[in-house]
This record gives sequence, C-alpha cells and structure tokens, in this order.
Amino acid sequence: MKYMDAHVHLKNRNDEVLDVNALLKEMDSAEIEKVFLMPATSKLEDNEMMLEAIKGHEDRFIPFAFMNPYHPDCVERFRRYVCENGVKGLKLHPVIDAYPADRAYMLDPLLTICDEYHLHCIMHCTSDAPNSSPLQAERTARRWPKVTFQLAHMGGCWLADDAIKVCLRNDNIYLDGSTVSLSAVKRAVKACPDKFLMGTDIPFYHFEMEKLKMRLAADDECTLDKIMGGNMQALIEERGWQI
Amino acid sequence: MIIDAHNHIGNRRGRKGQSAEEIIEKMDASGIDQAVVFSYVPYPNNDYIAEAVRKYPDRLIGFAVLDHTKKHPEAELERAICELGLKGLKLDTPTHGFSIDDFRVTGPTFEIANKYHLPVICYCGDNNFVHPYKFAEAAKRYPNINFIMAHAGILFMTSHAIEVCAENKNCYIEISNINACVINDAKNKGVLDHVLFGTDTPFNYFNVMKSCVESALNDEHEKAMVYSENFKRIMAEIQVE
Repeated sequence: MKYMDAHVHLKNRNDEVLDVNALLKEMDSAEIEKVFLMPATSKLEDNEMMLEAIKGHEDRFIPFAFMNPYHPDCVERFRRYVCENGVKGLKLHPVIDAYPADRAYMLDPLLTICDEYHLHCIMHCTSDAPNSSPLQAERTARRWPKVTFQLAHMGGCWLADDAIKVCLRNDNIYLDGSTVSLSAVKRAVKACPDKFLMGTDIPFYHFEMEKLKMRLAADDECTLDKIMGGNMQALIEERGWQI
Repeated sequence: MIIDAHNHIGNRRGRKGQSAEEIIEKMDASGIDQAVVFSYVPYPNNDYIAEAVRKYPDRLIGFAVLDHTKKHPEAELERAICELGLKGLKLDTPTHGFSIDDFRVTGPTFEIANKYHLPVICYCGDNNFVHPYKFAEAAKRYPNINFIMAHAGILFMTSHAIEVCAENKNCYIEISNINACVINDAKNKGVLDHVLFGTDTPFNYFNVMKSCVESALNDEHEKAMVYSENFKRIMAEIQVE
C-alpha cells in the first residue's frame, strides 16, 4: 500500500452502496493505505454509525467526528468520541451547518478539545458562501495555533489563492485539493509542497481521479510522494497519534 | 448637515438612469445637503460626472468608475483626479469579476489612490470577492487609502465589516440598504466614527436611510458623525497637488 487520502466520507455514492467493506475494496484497489474518515453529515446517527462500523479497521480509518456547533450537546459528545472512540479530529462544515468559519464563541468550545488532545481539524473551505472563506478560516486557525487545520477544497473555486496565501503564512494550516481545479492544485503544490494533502472527497469522486490529478500537479517524484501520502504521514507523526 | 456617500447618476444603456437634476430634486425634498455621485458601475462615464459636479459644485461630489477590462485603468483614475477634479474611486469588483485584493488587477489603481490619499468605495455584500477581510488585506497594503465598504457587508458579513473597522483606522462602512441595527452594532463596538451615511439612489430613498439613522441613534452629536462629520474627515485627508 502506497498512498493516503485526507478526505473521505462514509456515505453511499447515489444508489451505489459504499459501506465500510465496499470502501475498503475501493481503497485496496487504489492502493490507499489509510484515510481520514468522516461521517456523511453532522447528524448524531451518522457519527455513531460510522464509529460503530469502523471497529476492527483502525489501521485503515483515522476517524473524525463531524460536529455541528449549534447542537447543545456537541461539546460533551465530541469529548466522548475522542476519549472513548479513538476520534482523532474534528470535521466542521460552515456552509451546510450555516455558521461563519470565524465565529469564536461557537467554535472555541470544540477547538478547546482539539487543543487539549492534539487533534486535527478538517474545515470545509469554499467560495460559494460567505461563511467559509480562507481568510475567515485563518482567523480561527490563528486563535488555536497548536491545532492543525486542513482547509478542505482550499477555497475553491474562486478563493484558491487566498487559501494558498494563508497556508504560506500560518504553520498550522494545510490544504486539500478535493473538488478543486488542476490549475489551482498545481499552484498550491508548488507554493506549499509540504502542507498539501491528497483528498478525494469520497463518495463524490473516485480515488483514481484524484491520484491522476496529483500526478499531473507534481513536478517531480519527491513532491508526488509527499502529496500522495508523505505529508499526511508526517502530520500523523507530528500530532503524536498512535495508529 | 447631511452628506450621502453613495449615489449613481448617468446612463444605464437602455434602462432609466438618474440625472443630476433628478437627484438634486430628491436631495432638496429630503434635506440632503451633498451627495457623492458616480456612474452606474458597468457604464463608466467620468466626464459626465465631472460635468454634473461643475453644474452643481456645492451639492455634488464626484467619484470615478474605471473600466478594468482596459489595459491601464489607472490612467483613467489619474485623469479623473488630476484633470476632471473627481475626489475618489468607486469599485464594484464582483461586477467586474475580480476580488478587491487581487492586486494584479487593483494594484496599479490602488498605487495612484494611495498616492493621493483617496477614498475608495467598493460594494461589500455577501459575495466572497469582497468579503470585509479582503478589504482589510487591501487596507493594510495601502494605508493612505480610506476604504469604504458600501452596504457594510449586508446581509451576513456586517459583523465582519464592523470588526475590520475596529482593526483598521482606514476602513469605513457605508450604510445604504442595511438593517438599522448595524448602526447600533457599530456604536457598541466603538466604531461609530467609521460609519458613513449613504442611500444608493436611485435604488433606495433618502428618507428610508434617514429613518434608519433616526431609529438607531438619539444623540444629535452621534447622528452628526454619521450624517457628515466622518465623511468630511475622509475628504480632508485627500492630497492632490
């Protein structure tokens, strides 16, 4: 197994069932050793279902809890997921769950836990809504310098250059290029070769599509190795996770 | 005294525009002393604006609109300020398809605006090309420009716009089309001195925006800040030889 993918949901692809077994088959076929795995939504049942389904596969799936800061019990549940279910990170979606990515009073209680347990935060970051721009995500990342932040979709499609800018000027900001143009990914890989993570956004795309994009984006084998798994491995080690 | 910082006059190419005479009539009816006027953004005509200001020098203040599809739009800004006597720049970058802080596009223009310490008013409302944090990027790079966030970031970016005013002394919000509570929010954050009265005629009515100010504020000194004092301060900073 050679590669790692930083952006995978446990979710069916339209009518096609993509449960844990089907997902493992797709990973094996694409030589993806490990993924950052997230539920489909921030609903309680999606989180609980995912954590149950991946039992016994901790060597392949690094679980993230998808939390909605509006839910009154989100902090208590997130802490339980971290302490009892091996969750290694927080997934936030300011667009679907409708809050600004820099709203401190809502996000800080969850990010306190990320800070305490040395976790990673995957934050949806696109240009289609006023909630989720890279400059807003940066404000949150600056408040929590010991938490690492992955800007999922790196500000696509119109704010990719802002995402690159904030990745360059903040050590704790990473980028994934899921759903993003080859052109933007090339710029990101060139600017931030050590902090770009391959992410497919399963089920919406296929691992082979993203792998092709990586091969077209990287100028040399060394960079290709980094973006297709080396950087993610380095991040796992930096976070001190025992996986 | 009331100075309105946001109004369009001129041709709208096939649709009804607003003439200088029409806005003067509306201003007289609503007690507006002076109005900043500029072209409708897709149809810049700075000579028309300069002519209107020449006819009504005590009532109208002219800002330039540039055509950023041209190779050197900054040359037109130089002409508008130095030859036509206009006093500032109006941008609407989403209409023109770029971000306010895309300095490959706006840089040459902002160099000139920075040189002359001009006000630059730009549309700022629920559109990621003009998020208030992008105004902040521009404000830090061009400290002599007074950036005015038109519409104060309506609907959902107003708190960000107010925050940017608190962090940058050269950032302002202009209130046309806002909910009145934005004025209260700005006051509570200590940045009432960054708030500018504006209506965006002919799309809105002077009396509507006046009622926002009258509803939000009771103190005559505070109202005076919003109605004219803050804008006069911006105008006093302009440095054109």
